[in-house]
Amino acid sequence: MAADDMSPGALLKDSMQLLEAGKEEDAAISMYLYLDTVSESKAPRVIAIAQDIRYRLAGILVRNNRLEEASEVLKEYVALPIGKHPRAAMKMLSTCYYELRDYTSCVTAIKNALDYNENPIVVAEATLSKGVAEVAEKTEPDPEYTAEELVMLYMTLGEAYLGLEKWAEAIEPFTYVIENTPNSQRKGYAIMQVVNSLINIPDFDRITEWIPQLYRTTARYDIRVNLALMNAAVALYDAEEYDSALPLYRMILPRDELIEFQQEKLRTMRLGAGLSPDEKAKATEGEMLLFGLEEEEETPAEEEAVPDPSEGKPKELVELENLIIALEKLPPYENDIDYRMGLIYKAVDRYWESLEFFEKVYEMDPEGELGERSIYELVSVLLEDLGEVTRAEQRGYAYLGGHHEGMTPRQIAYMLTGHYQENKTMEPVKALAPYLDEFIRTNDSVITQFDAELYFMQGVADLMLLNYEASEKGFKRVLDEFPDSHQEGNALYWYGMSTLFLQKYADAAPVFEQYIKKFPEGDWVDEAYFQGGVCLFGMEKYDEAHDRFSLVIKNYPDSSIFPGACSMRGDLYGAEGDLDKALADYEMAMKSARKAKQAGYAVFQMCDIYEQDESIDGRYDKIVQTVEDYLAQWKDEADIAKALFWIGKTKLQQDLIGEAVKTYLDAIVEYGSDVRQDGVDLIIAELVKISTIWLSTEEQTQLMEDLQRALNMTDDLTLQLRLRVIRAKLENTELELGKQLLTELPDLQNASPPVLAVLCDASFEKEDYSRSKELLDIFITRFEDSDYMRAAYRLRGFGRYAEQDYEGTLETIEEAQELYGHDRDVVWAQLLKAQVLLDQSKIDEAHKANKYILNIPGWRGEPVAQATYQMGQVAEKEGDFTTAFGFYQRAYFQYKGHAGGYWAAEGYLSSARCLKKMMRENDRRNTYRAMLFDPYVNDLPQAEEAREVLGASEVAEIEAYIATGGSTNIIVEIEVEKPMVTANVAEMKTAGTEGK
Amino acid sequence: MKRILTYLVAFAAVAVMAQEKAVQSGTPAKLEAINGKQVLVFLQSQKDGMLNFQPRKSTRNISVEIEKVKSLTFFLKYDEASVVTSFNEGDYATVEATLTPLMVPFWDYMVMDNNLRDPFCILMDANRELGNFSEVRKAAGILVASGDERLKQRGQVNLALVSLAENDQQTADKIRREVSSEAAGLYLQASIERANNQPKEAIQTISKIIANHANDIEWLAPSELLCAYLYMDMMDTNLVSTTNSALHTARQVKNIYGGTHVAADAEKLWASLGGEAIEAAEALERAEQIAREKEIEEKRKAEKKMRLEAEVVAAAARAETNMTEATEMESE
Repeated sequence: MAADDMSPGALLKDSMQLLEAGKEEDAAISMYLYLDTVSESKAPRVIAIAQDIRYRLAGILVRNNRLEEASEVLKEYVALPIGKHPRAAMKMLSTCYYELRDYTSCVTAIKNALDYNENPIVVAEATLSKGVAEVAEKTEPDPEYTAEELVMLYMTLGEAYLGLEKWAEAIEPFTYVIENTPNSQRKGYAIMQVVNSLINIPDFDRITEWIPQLYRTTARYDIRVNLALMNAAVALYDAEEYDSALPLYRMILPRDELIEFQQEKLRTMRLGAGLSPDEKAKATEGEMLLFGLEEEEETPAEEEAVPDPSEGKPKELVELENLIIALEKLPPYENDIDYRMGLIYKAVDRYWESLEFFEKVYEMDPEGELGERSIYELVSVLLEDLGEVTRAEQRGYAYLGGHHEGMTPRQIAYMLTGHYQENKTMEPVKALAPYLDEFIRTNDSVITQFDAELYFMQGVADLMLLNYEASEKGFKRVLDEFPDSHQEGNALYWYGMSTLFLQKYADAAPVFEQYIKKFPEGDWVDEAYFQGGVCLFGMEKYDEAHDRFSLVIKNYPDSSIFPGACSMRGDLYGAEGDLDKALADYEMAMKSARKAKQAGYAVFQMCDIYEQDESIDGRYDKIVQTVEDYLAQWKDEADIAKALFWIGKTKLQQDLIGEAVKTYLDAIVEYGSDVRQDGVDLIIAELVKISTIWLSTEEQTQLMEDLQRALNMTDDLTLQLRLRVIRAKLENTELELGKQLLTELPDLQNASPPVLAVLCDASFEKEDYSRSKELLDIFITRFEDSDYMRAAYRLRGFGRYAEQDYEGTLETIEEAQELYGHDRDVVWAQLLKAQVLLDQSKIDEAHKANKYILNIPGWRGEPVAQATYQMGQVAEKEGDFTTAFGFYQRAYFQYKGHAGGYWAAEGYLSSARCLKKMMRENDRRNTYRAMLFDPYVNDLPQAEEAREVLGASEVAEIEAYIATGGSTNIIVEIEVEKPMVTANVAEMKTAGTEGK
Repeated sequence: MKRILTYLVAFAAVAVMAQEKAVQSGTPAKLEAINGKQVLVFLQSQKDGMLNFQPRKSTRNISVEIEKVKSLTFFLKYDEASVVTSFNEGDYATVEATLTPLMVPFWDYMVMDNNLRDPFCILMDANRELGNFSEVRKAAGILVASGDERLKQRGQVNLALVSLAENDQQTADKIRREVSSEAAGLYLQASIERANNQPKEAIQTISKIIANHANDIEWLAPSELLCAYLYMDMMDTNLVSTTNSALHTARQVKNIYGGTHVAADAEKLWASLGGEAIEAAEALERAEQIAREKEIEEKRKAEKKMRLEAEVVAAAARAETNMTEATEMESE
């Protein structure tokens, strides 16, 4: 018979038989047909049977994973009366909805189930008709949900709310689970979901309350909890909720440990499900005996067992298997967690702990992305947070030594550079340079930006170290190798500045012009205008410089270079003799100065003008007033030593010698420890001058004692050296001190300009030029404005001459002459220049160079003697012995009183040499005779040559004659074009005596 | 006669009871043998590896080897929750005052597994916090002799810490080398380094626990607390450290391990560093910020409302004009 033709009773019987035969699919068809057949029946008994069939059908459908159908059947079952299992049906229904991800219906179903569980009568009354109600009343009610069932219902409710993203609503059901489940793992899972909900709300404060509870549950071994922990921790970290994120990260178990734990659990579950412990192995008899399920547990309640349709595995087991697979697929996350923990500890100032985590990650994955980030963080924490500079450098440099590609080495180099710059230690910045050169360049814009920045910082370091040549090259490199970089403007400006510091004004000027053109709105545009003016000044284009400074003064009154421009224009006015305008500009500079140094320059220039211009009334009062205003305004920042120098000068003018000496002595002791206090060096020179000119012998002795006392009382090397130099100057023992210091001071860091000058003089005396470059470089880089530098130029000039570096010698001479002009103590430069030109066989130039000396009034005396002699040398080299003889003879006739007769003696000998070349033997011998008769030279070493030539007997005769008081009238007369030299020995004697 | 007999029986019963009460001295306990058999006993003593007891209702003294006893269950009634709460709140004096008299009868048996080991350990820790080092030594010595590895370690650590507190670093270091747990060993090493005024070394040692034993609940909390103290120590040296480091560490320990005595100690430290005031100031600042934002938002809303109202009025006016114009046009 076809099913369609079967009666309800037959269908019922058929379905039961099929069910008993295990043919669930066929049974379901019969059940559907039966229900369809009786759907219109109102008979309570039929309704009751139909309900029973619905319940059974739902079970079949659930077991066969036909959840949508099951939910429809169950919905009907729950809606209709006289069901024997309403609670179980409602629970199944909610499960179906949850599995179908119909969370809204799931929430409704669970709420209905819980309401019904509490008050089944009310619900029943609302739905039953009278006849049916009577039957329903007689129906045995199914038992209330067990505690375990309630926990599961609430758990599902919570999950459904999460599915609906109703975070706040989810908290209550999960809280129920937490409070009621005896299962620690389930409790932990529920806490985790509460935490997740709170993160999503967000309500971070409440999270902190839950975490300690979670910490104490065994849910930590749950894979889902671990995965959720990771997500939650990340969310908390991103929200900077470090106190909450930290314990979550901690709870996450290492992947391998978790897999191992869960695989062991899986084995147990498999055994419990009657399966082999491993997927492909069968359980041994012993294993089944020990771990197999008890018989009664093998048949779970009909509605609770949801076996896996494919392999007959319990759902939980399948879930666990899937979770383990998912976990195994997950890349190891421990490093990520450790790295984030490191960041968290760092964020809350727990640097030592963070360090350990970064160390750990770097050790585990040195070449990976996290490893790279960790080494960066590690160096950062050591360097910037813990002050463990040496350790940071060790780690940083070790990394840089082995890594030349990518971002991290550059970031580390950048960090180290930044640290050094911040701490104003530039030498270590330069130590990074070789590492930078090893970096492999790329087209990556960020990396290129880093490279440009790093090389720019190298230039800055050179600049700060006063290595201007290096900084010039460095900034040029940035401009050439990183065109259009973010540092182009800065590099261009500082390239110009480096060139300017090297006094290459003509080279620097166009750089500043280029900056102005390319960056008219740039940060340095006002400075570029000003420095361009400085270049023009240096190029001696004073009118243009004047215009430029005027432009700066007009256009940039608020700029930091405004005072500098005023001072520079003041200098120009001063040079032009327009002292009023100069004073006005200095005044403006002083008032607008932002730094004590700016004000100081203007102030002391004003003092100079006041001192020089005798026409100014009360000029010393003005000096005092100006200096006092300056001191009052700048207080400790002021150059007090220099100010005291000027105050001392005014005291001298008021004849307050003692006070001036005391002021100077106190200033030396107070500020002499600072090697850069050039005011102290001015005071030293002034004090020596005062002592020599003004002090009595007793006062000089007293001063020496005071200096010695100060020397005994200080441990400061810089001050000690300054005091020793003053004492040496007062005792005229500078050369001895210099020689002593040459061996005492391998390091010149503490040597101030007067000390360096003493060293220069001693070296010069010893003809030891080995440190000449070093000494001059120190002056140029550290004490550029010091007057003591001239000693270094002399040493350097002669040093280069000794090396036969003629061009170099001329270069040094030129620099010295540019700085010191016709100062008498720099006449050596002109004399040496003539000598160099002679050595270069530049006869005319050599002659002119010597002759130039004769025209300078300030150089009269010994320099002229030498120049005259040298003019003889020039002529002799040209082969003009007659002219040469004339100059030599003039040297011994006119200048025998100078240089202890040295040039006169040389003149005699050179004259004799010329006469010999002219074949005038008699005149030659007469010249020697005259030399021995000449009391200015006859005891000099050069006289030995005359004695040798004349022979012992004639020498004895001459000496005997001299002893009787006799003199000679020997005259050697030769016609020369110019000069015509005629003299007699007696005249010479007279002049010489005067000179002597 | 019957009355006399009743009297005699009653007398005899009282006498027996009196006799039983007088003879059955000792510490009552349930003894579980290793074979699972349980028996109620009155413990007499524990000495030389032997447990001496009298079975209930018997004056017969029996001795068994300790090894044959699985565990003892004592019938001590006390407010356990209250003691634990006091301990977790850092109120060590209350713990000591409560537990010391209660634990007296059980001391000798703590070497064996029993149900009072937790309060015993709590008392030991409380005594250490209170500086009652001789008591700690006694208790720790018993734990070291117990067969339980975890308790033995706890005893060792306490002995080491007491030695350190008494400047006996040599003993502390010797114990450190004997401790089997790496985390415990590192904790002791850090404690020794701290005692040697080497806070930098100590904090690096303790950081190893934090980084490598993050799941060791037993040692992590005290390690973190020690970190807080070490940051404090470093503030007195030329090492780079700020109050923030100590403050943050104390705050985190207080929050993360809430409800434990470690958290209570951390809270004391945190409070001493002015944590409360700082947190209150921060909360106030946050509240002010929220209020400011709220005020701005309300102002913005009010302005928007006013604009809307103005627009509505203007629109209404325009509409009225249009209507008037339309009416006028219609009239025309």
